Amino acid sequence: MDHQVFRIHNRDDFVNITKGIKVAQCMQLKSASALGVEKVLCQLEELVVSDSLSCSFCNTVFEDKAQQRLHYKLDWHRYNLKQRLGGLKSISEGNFSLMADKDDVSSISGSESESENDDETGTSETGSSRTDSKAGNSKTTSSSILIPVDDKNRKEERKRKIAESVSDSSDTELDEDALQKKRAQELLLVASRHSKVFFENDEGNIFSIYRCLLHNKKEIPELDIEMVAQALESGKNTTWTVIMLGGGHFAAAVFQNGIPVVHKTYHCYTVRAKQGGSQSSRDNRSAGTHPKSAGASLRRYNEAALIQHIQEILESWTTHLVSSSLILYRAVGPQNRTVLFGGKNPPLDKNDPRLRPLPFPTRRATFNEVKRVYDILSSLEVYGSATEFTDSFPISPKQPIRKKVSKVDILDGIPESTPTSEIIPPFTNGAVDNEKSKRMSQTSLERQYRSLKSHIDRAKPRKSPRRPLPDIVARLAQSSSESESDDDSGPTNEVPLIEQSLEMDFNEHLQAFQDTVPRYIKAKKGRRQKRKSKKEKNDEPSPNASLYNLKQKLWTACKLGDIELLSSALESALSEIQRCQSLEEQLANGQEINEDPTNFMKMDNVVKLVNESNEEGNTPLHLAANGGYLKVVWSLLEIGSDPCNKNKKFQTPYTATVDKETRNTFRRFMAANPNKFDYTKSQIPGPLTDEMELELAEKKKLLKKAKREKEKIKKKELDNQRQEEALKKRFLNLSDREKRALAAERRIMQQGGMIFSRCFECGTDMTNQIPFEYNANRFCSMVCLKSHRGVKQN
Amino acid sequence: MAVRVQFENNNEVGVFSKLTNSYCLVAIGGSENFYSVFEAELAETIPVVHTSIAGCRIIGRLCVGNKNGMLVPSSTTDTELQHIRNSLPDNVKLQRVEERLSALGNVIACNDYVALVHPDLDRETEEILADTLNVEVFRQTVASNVLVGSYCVLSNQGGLVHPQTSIQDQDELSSLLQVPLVAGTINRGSEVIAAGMVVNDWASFCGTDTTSTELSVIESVFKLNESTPAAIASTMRASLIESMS
Repeated sequence: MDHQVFRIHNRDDFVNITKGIKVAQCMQLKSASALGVEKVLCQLEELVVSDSLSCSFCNTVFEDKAQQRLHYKLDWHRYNLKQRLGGLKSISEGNFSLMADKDDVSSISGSESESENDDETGTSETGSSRTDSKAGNSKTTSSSILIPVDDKNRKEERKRKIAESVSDSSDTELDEDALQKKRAQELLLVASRHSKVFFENDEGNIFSIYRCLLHNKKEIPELDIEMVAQALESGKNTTWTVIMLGGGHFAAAVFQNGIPVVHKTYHCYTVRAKQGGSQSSRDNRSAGTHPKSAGASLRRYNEAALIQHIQEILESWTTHLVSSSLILYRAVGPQNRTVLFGGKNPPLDKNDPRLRPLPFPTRRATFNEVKRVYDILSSLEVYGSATEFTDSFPISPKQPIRKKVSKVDILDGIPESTPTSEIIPPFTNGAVDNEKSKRMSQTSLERQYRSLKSHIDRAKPRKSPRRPLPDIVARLAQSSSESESDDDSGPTNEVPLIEQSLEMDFNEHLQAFQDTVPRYIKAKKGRRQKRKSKKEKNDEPSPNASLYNLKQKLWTACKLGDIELLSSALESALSEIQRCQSLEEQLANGQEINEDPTNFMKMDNVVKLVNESNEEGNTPLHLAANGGYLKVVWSLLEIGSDPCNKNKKFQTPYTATVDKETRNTFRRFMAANPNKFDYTKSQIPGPLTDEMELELAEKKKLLKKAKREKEKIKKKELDNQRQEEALKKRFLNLSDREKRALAAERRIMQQGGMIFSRCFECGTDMTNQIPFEYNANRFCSMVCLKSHRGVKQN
Repeated sequence: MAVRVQFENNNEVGVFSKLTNSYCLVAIGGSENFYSVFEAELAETIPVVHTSIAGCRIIGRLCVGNKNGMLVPSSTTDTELQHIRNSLPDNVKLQRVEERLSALGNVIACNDYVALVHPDLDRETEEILADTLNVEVFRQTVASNVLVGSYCVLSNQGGLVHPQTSIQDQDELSSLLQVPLVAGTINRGSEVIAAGMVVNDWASFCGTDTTSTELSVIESVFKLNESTPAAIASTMRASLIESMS
């Protein structure tokens, strides 16, 4: 039988379904779990050393303790342990000894056995679904308490199992048993905490009724019979009141046999915008200082109004409320609860046995939502036979303790079980049913999607607002559109669009780095060229002896910085060139000579020679520059060694230098022969003339002078300071009296040695004396002072 | 008496300490709080030794020992070995072992008479273990887990094993070890028992997360106070049942 939904207020259906009902097997947990706790306590009380003489890994029973201890050291046991860990069947002792004889298990013990397990899986039979059951096992551990669940049944079961396994029964069967048991146990756990109660009728079908329709949370019936009676009763009382309240929304309705008799919705602005929460709770939080904004007072007023209004509504519904058999309500939080149960004469009695909170989450309180809630609650879901039910019922994943099992979650799990807001006649034909199920699956899909969505983005999707474009952009857009299609609109706007193309040339600035192509790029290019150049080289005539000599001398001179060798070599070369020139002239004049004109040495050859590079790309100039041989550098440059040549490090001779003097040589040469080379690529910063040098030297001199003077002044200051310090120190070391005397002396000295202090009475000189003072007058002796006082007194 | 303690805000006290009937090792830590708790409880009877093993503070997982001796992994440095040897009582044998499974505390669980070891432990180590600690060695698993040292804690009075250990396994282990066993948790549901607590015959230290129910079970299993298990069952019944349901 397929999954079907019926209405609880449909008498015929209800009677049909509830014929001979009993509580489903999966619900009968209560007593069992209580029993379990008892057992656990008993176990704690017992706490004895067990005397079991068996090994479950090897399925053996021992005769005495000694045998048992011995067994745990056997290779056989170890092998079985590993088999078990690998999820394989254990083997008997006989089989093991056979295997051991065949050397299949040469090294079971020890840490070095890594790969041996893999070999063994090949020989032994494939294991059962032990791992699955293990996974299931780990799922069921839920609470943090210590004690394992144990009951007599299981113990007996286990003993039986041992007996069976000892008598060589098949292991796989056992595992299936265990798996089924585990599954049943899981189902038990889930079903017993479910917000629905599952019943079985005499047709063997499982169906569910919401628990909140049967009994109060506090009065859970102990016996199944009571539960059944309540279920039967629930079908008869069909006047329900549904009240939903939250966030300033109120919706309530009284239903009678599926039809709303009276309903009312009401909304007040009470929730603080953007902050959330009610105004009164905010006020309570900040004791004393209530916000005085207009919004706050508006909400405060609205809250009071809402309470009053709801209470009025419920009062006017008194007759309906009294007659209804159930009052289902949703009022989350103390704020909402006080509306229903607070005040002087609350609209609902807190202890009313008919009051039931809604067992699943709901949306905003509207009349539609109230109807939906009513539909869900009043549905009788029929799942089919018990076996079908156990197969299809999902074991939902473990949830946090505080979360209740919500309707939506479970519905997601069972695609067919979506309750609909329509009443299905009990025996519909197939077509309608089909259509129905299709629609249902659709809605469930939708719901899934919605729930998913609600998890992802909290904010409502909003269209981005359309704002007018800024003026300039609008104008530009307009003009461009005009240009594209000028036939459909005349010139509306007269902003000319001016186009200018500017070409910027950085070549000048980059010229110095023209040849610095990265090597890997250059290498590619170079390969082809090289081959060509090699060919050319082959075509060249062999250098004559004098040229070869010159080259040798040149390189050694540059390496060693031997200017004499270089100059002598060059001189000889020059003389050779002159000789050749004269010979050539003779040849031109038609005279005979005994030398081959092709071997004549020319200036070009020398220049070429000077510009040749070695395997590192260094020309003689590089070497000379690096060595810091100024004269060699100068003469090489004079001959025509190009300062723009680069070695393989992309260094020009100038950059290959190591000291300033060599660099200055290059610059001086540049100043002297500004037109000899194209210096742009040589990276020489600029010419250096003697005047410039002089100027620089002058500047330096001035700077040095200034510095010296500064130092002099500083020294003087320091001296003064030191003197002052010494004086201070001496002064501080003096006694007070000496200090005073010193001060006086200094004063006197300042006044040009005049006698400064005289006795007030007799006028004698008091310098170098300590005067007696009286009334700011000074006296030379006590006699004078006394006489002065005497005069005064008289 | 079971005491709740924390090592630098960490509840896994079994990782940072090792407690036996003749000595106690605690890890070198930033604060002395942990050490002083042990000191206050034990100092009169057994030495409390500050140490590290192989430069690590997780000494409880690296070494194994009982009142007769102690095994440390090969990674222990000479100075550490010297320090421990100097600090321990003279009759305690100290031995360094070359074992591939170097976290000895995780692969060996022992009291003064028996030891459970990882099935893959080296033969040689097994022999050294038997000689040094004077124990009978059994290769066994706890709740299908080879890390017997992590998932069970033994004293001469009793033992606490992994919460998923089946009753049959418990029976067998109990008869093998000759101590009563209970499956349970520590530190508010942690199943890594040995990491969460250390115990000897008269004292126990658990992580601060340990619930009172867990604590009471520990005290009754390891017989840490004079009260009989029956008393616990009667006085603790209410809380036990509440947490079960």
